[in-house]
Amino acid sequence: MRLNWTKKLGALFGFTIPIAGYVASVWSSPALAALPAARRDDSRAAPPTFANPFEAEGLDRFAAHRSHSSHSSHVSHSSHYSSSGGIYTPPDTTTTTPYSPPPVTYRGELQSMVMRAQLALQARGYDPGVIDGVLGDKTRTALRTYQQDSGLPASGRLDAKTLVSLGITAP
Amino acid sequence: MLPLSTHLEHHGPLPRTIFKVVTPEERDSAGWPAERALVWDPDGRRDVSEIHRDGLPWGGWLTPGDRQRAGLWTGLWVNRVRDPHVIGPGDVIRLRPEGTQARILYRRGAKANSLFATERCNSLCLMCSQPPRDANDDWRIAEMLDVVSLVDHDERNLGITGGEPTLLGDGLLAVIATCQTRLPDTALHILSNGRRFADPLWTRKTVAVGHQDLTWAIPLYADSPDLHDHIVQAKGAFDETVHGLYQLAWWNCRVEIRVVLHRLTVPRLGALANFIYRNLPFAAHVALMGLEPMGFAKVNRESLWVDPLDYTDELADACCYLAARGINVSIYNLSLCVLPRDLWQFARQSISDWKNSFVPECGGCGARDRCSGFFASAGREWRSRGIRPIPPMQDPFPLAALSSGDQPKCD
Repeated sequence: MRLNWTKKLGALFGFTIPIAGYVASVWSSPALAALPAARRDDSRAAPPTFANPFEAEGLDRFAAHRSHSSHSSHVSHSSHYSSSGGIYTPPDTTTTTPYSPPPVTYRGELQSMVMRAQLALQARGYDPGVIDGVLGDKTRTALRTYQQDSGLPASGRLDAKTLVSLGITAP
Repeated sequence: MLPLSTHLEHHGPLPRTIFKVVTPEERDSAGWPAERALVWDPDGRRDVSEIHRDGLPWGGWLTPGDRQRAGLWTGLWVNRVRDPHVIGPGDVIRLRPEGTQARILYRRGAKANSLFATERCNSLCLMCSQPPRDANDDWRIAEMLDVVSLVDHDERNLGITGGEPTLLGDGLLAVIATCQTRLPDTALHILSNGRRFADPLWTRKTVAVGHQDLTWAIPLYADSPDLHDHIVQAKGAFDETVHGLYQLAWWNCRVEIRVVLHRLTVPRLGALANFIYRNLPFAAHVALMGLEPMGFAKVNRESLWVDPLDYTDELADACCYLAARGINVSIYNLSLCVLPRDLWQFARQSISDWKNSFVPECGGCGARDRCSGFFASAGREWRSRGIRPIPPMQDPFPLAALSSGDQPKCD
């Protein structure tokens, strides 16, 4: 399942493009000026960091919040990645900072994520079988049924959209 | 392993070099131009005049044995295929006007078929398995268009590789457009370093082609520009690639991020996974790939090689970190025996048939039919000390795949 990144990145960068018209306009584009330009002469710009990448609502709130600021001020901004919004903190990508490994091991996290999904399914009346952190046949069947009922593609996978829909977020 | 080329003999006129091998039965229905069809006659028993009776301008006749030209047929006659398994009905092959080599450009039923776009590249990756050559090979555009027009309609996946395909510019767009109209049900998977997508106009042009099932597979080797630029030996490449990724995401294009695992990338793998989740969460798929011992990788073995057994912790953390966050993640090119059991769910059979092989240890292995195996090019010095047969078991995949499904099979 894919989220609508046009909308999200648009909100983040402060641009909107008339999508319907883009194909017709691609060869001589009036909308081109509104695109984030690739500025090779720029000093390096930090890419946007998403505080909660798959939590669609957060970005939508952010879009609403941003809508009163002038778009043109962002176009003329020295970098299309920069923003004064609270949604991200630019990471330091300019130097190879000494890397300290993540404090936790993520192997257990995967299992607990599956357990959380199993609990969430159970709470919604779907039977995932034993809450064991294993994405087995029974859990996947429950997942598929849930996805069907929620209008998501019934993939049987814990994809981003499904996690969001089940109210599961990751740090 | 089934090689992509063999030798054969051809006799008679050769007005073109690219042909579709067809059985006499399918020649009528399949819709390939008759003059581009090589009629496949493995037994050499078909009566040529029977095929020829309808008077259609068949491209030629292909019999793997040494049967000589027969009957009324005066056109192209191909025989004496040195390795008859290499060519079969449905394949698209290229003959050489001078010489006996035949190359298979498309193989029916292969798990991965790729069009080779160009030998040129604007990066020079330390582990490149296909070192670039700066020669004008724009003729490959015509060849790709030719091949696309002969690919089976029901083919599910087609890849485009290089070199850097986007250097072909409008030529690549023409290929994509042809795929779209000619092969509407075929997923297209293009390997690109993504740098050209930093140019918004280029990105829009690719989007404007409107292919319905296109994935751009773009490598990102580090979360740090210095390291990424060093690995791809091109200053500013990281910035361009990241810009490109955002451009593609902006248009809701499907992108896959590819990471080659070696001594330079492994130490920051965790940080890179974090970077992907935080900064590039639109990635539809992340492929963590074992090194292919070809090209520059062989030259740079000293600085790149690390036994997969020595990075399982980093790999496990990256996989689980991404998977727990709903991102599809796969491990390519690493055999199951070098992976901890809980990572098997991510491992894919990613190595193309024509360069895939197994080692003697695989003889008694119970997981062989689920395993990627090895690159045929991997000599002794590239073998992990963890290679061993796995005892047969009831369910080799106790954790059903979180992200199972049809991943593009490309390496």
